[in-house]
Amino acid sequence: MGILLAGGFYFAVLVFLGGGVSRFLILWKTYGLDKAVPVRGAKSSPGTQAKTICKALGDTFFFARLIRTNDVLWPGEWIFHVSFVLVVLRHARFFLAPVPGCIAFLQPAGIIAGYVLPFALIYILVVKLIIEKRYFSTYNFFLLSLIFSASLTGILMRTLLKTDSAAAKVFILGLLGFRLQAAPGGGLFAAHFMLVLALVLYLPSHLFTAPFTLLEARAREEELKRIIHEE
Amino acid sequence: MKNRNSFTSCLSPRQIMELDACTQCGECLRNCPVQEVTGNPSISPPEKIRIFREFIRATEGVKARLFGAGDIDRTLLEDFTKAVYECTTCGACGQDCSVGIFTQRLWPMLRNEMVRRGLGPLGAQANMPEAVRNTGNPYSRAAAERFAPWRPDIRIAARSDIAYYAGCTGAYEAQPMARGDVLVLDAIGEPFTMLSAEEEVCCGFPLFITGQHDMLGDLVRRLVCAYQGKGIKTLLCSCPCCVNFMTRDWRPFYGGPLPFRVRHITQFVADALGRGRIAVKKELKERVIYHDPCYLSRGVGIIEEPRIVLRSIPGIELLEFSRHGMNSRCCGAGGAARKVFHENAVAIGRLTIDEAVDKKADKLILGCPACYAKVNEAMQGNEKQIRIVDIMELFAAALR
Repeated sequence: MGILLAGGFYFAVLVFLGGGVSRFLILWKTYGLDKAVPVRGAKSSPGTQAKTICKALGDTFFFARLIRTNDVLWPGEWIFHVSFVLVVLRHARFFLAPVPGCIAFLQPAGIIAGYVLPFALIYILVVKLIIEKRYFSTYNFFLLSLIFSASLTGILMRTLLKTDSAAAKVFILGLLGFRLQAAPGGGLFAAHFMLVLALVLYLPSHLFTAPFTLLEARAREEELKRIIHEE
Repeated sequence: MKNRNSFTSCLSPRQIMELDACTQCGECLRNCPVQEVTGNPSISPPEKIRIFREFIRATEGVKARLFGAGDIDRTLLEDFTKAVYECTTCGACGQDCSVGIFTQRLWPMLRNEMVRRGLGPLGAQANMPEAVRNTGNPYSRAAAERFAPWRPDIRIAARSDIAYYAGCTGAYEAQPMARGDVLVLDAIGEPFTMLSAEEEVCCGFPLFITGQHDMLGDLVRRLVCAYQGKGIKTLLCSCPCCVNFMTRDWRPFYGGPLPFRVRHITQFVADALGRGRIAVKKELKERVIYHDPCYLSRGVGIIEEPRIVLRSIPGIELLEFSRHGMNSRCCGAGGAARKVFHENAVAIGRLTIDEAVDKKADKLILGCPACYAKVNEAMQGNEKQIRIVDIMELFAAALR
């Protein structure tokens, strides 16, 4: 089982990094080519630029644009994303030795987030599928199902069918150091690990690009005031 | 063109990032006019982005780089092309986008890619380049008919600081609008010039928006040089599509900064009202509702000036649509989709008409020749009826 999980781990990491390199190459290729790039308004003053950055940070960390369009969905989406980040940070202890103080500090919050996460996902599904009955992409449904399953297996490992977390850490550090170690016993760890690897394979690209487009959108909004109006 | 070739050569790095940033959340469907009348999510913004990402992945993804690009199913390409051309490019999806994608400019560039591959444009849109080449306008109408049917007998200066561009849709399809423009300019009293009917050719917007960019450089340079020859400092235009294209896109196609500034006519009139160059004395006791054209409000941020102009008319009660300003609803005519998806355009236009009637407005005020032509068409056979007037047509009438 350990070899299978290790193979899956290296495959997922390679695909993830390959995807990143591939995207970088596409951007590199298009950079500076002569295209019809629309003109925007004059650049704003440094003070206004600072405000624009603050607004974009608000959009990134508080999903301010989503509040504007869907305040019912917003709590679920925001709590889900915050919980997800906390859970990921909590899991960093498996990849780091010694564990940095900040990661250790976040452990209690990470545990709570681990329990909140599936409820946030249920909320999103209820809003999308039952209350609003609107478009729900197959990809997002797949992704949420994947995270929900990973989250449930994680909770089970912590509560009912406890897994040896020390053995899990040894296994993961072994993977990182290319010195394979035995995986913790029981199928639950394997299931959880595979689900997370699948998540790495299907990780949505917006996690990396949305902050840039949000900043762009705020800058565009600001420059719109000067595109045709007098200074 | 082989379907294995790159799908990103028409896009800027920003647009590639935007494609990657789409979360498929579907918030953009909320105010999409095409969704309102078709209810077909397979042609929705997130689905178009998802499919286009598949095209990029198939040709430039990790697997394609390692093992060679795969062929893309022709039917999928054709379905995507239809979806991207069914859009009115109004940009409401971008306004609602939770990650701020600039869709009003993304869709035309995806269309450009489909044209490059020989899949677009669709139907009558394909005739436009030849029509513009032969007649100077996308309607294949004679230059002699451009101004003669509507231009009143007023003094047009040979040279002036100010020039007025009527635009093809205004001149041929929405003549009361172009007539209103020149009557108001004449009333303001500042001398203005115009190009001759032969010189005033298409601004390039219909070709740009349908992804047919080959002629744009020549067309834009031809117009800019002609206006430069007239020694102008300000170019006035009332067509939102022309104004948007002139402001945002003429510079890259011209190859440098324009030798004059572009202004929407309502900016000029609002300024003249502010400076006391013009005043309306005639009272119009009417309830009017103003429709913000997408390319004017979302496109270049002209929202307040039309309202200043309307409020300057004594007795006017100005009503607002539930969606107005930056959130305005498309009239259905946008993106040249009306030339192919006529039924959608009429159904969308009727949404605007019905809301105006429900709000008990006496007149529906439009500010775009494409809206003017299409909403008038949508009125035919519609249960609810309302008088449609262009903003400058109304203002000119109030000046009389």
